[in-house]
Amino acid sequence: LARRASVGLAIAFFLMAAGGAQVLAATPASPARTATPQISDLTATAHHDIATRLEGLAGLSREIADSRSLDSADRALLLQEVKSAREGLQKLDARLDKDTEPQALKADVEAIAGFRVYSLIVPQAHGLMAADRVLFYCTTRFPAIERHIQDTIDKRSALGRPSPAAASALADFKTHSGQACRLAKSAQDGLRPLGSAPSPRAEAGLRVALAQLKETRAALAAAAADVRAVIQALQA
Amino acid sequence: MAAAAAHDPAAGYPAGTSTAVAVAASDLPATLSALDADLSRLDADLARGAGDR
Repeated sequence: LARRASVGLAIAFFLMAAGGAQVLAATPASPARTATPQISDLTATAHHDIATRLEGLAGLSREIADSRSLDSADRALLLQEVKSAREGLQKLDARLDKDTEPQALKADVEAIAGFRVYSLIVPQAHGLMAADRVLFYCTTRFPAIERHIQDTIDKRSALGRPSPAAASALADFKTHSGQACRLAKSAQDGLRPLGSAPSPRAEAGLRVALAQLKETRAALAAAAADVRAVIQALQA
Repeated sequence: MAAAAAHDPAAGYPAGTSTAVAVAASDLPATLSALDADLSRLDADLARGAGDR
């Protein structure tokens, strides 16, 4: 962060110097000029910032490809976003060395942040991994758990040993698992289109999704407690 | 699951009934832990996201 902030300040200072700011003219030439960043320094820093992002995107790409929680639609969506950002950053990287004017360099340095690698792509991917993990559980495990609980309760009832405590815990389980699945779906629906949303809306969307996923976690934990209550009731 | 089998909750009832519940839900704790890791990572991402500005 400090590095990025310093680049911004350096560019501003550089532009002032390039425009013949009076502050430089009024001070002894050598010390002031040695403190002014050279365009080559700024270019090198910009190359570094791009390289850092490209490295991060490469890691994220592997993470997305290897993820066991992402569904196929989200995997494809995220890989496409990573590819677009990577290609854009590579083009920008190639253009930096041709920037001989401070204004052009300033515009290109600012364009690096416009790819939103840290502010959107990475958190969006991790948010979808979390939502999809829960949604996978919703479609594969919850129905089986519910079926086994109901079967057990029915069999006990058929033997003249009804278990109202287990039935009550099953009702709670249905409520909590349903909440977890609805919240995870809402987070997934909110996260998917953020790649094309303007920055303020995308950042707000990420925070909403995080809040929903935390609620999802609480509902999932409650559902797990309900299962334990069912088993305890059946053992009584 | 060995513990669940050792204390067979279905003892005296149709075999394997409530044990099946435990088996079906056996990976729920692991899913919760994985989700915790996901959320910690997302929290850190959002804190770091300001680095793009």
